[in-house]
Amino acid sequence: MALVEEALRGRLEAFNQLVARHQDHLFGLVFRLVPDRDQAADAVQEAFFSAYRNLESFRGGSVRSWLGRIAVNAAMDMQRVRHRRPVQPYPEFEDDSWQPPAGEETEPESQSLALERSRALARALGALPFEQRNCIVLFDVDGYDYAEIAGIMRVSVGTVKSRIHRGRLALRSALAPNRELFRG
Amino acid sequence: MPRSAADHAAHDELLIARLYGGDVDDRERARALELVAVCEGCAALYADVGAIADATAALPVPPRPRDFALTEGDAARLSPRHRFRGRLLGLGRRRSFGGAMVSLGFSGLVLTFALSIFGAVGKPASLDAGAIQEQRAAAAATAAPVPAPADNNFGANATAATAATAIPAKAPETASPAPSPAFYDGATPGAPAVAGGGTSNAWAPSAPPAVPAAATISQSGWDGREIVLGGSTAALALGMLFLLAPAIRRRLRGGARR
Repeated sequence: MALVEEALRGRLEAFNQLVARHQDHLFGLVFRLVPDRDQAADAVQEAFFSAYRNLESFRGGSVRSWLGRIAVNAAMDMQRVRHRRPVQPYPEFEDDSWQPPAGEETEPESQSLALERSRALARALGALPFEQRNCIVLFDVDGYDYAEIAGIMRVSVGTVKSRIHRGRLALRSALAPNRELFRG
Repeated sequence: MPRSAADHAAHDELLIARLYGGDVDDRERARALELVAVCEGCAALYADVGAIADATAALPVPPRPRDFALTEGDAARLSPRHRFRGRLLGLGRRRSFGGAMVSLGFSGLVLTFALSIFGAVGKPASLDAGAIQEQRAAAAATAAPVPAPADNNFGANATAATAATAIPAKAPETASPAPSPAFYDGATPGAPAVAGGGTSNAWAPSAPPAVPAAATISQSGWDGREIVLGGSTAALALGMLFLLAPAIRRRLRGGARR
């Protein structure tokens, strides 16, 4: 909050401290919505531009949520553009040169399984309509509740619930050939 | 006892997904829990939905490709003053505005000329130019001796004049309320007062020379067609200026460099 006030007084360093604090989280969120690293980066950059332009509109509360809302809107704008010019979803998961950060599974077999699971899930997520994908990611990954998602996406709470439930069923159908990857 | 896959096909999968999302009322919850308890397919569905949700939350994210900190240049570009200037002078907006003004001006010109042409076509064929000249001369000769006092009612005079020349008079209410004597006098000797460009009553046989002039001239002395013509021309010129401004500026800059 203090950083926002300082940024409002024209201190760019204060705003850039906010950027440093939240950019990883926002990139992680947007990357799951816009399944292309470059486009996700562009959306996050645009979100920070938008936040800087609209600092006066910050009404207090959680800066993280405020920035998250702006980033989701930027990602949705990007998705609408991408909808017209589709690209391969989540190319990073198909690229062997990029490996996800190692988790608790230190065994090579476990790591390989986790990577396979991520690839399959990313492909299935990328095949979902972006309205369903957005709702699922916001709910499962970022922990927004139904009402918050409805506010961000400007639809009714019922629509959000329906998109999440139907999206999950669609994901399960898409992942049917890889079901064993998800049964531990 | 577990039910068969055939039984599961008839079960409401959306209800199971809603159970996982916590989007069920008490009655639905009881029904969904019963399905999960007795149907293998529903139990597997419930487990799969949970596993997929967990895997989605744990989906790895590649490292961000760059730092998103704003530069001084970004901050200057995003400042309100720059934004206002950008909006005002934005190329797209300027082109839109210029295009709109050109369209408006061109439409106005076309409309004006179309009205002129159709107005001319609509003139009565029974009156040729000679007859009109004769009528004007007769009207002028008849109207000239009539004194025009300062507080004269113009409509009354016009009526008297037309009665003397047996030309059907226009209704007095169409005349202006109190024209100045100078205006009236100037209209009489062989040069009947006409509207604006001086042609408006050339094909108006039902009115004496002075009456339509008073009816169509506005307080400022401009008629509607002239106003539309002027406005359209101005809009066209302004639009062209907006559209050509970048080229003009480039040429001026090029000339300054040379």
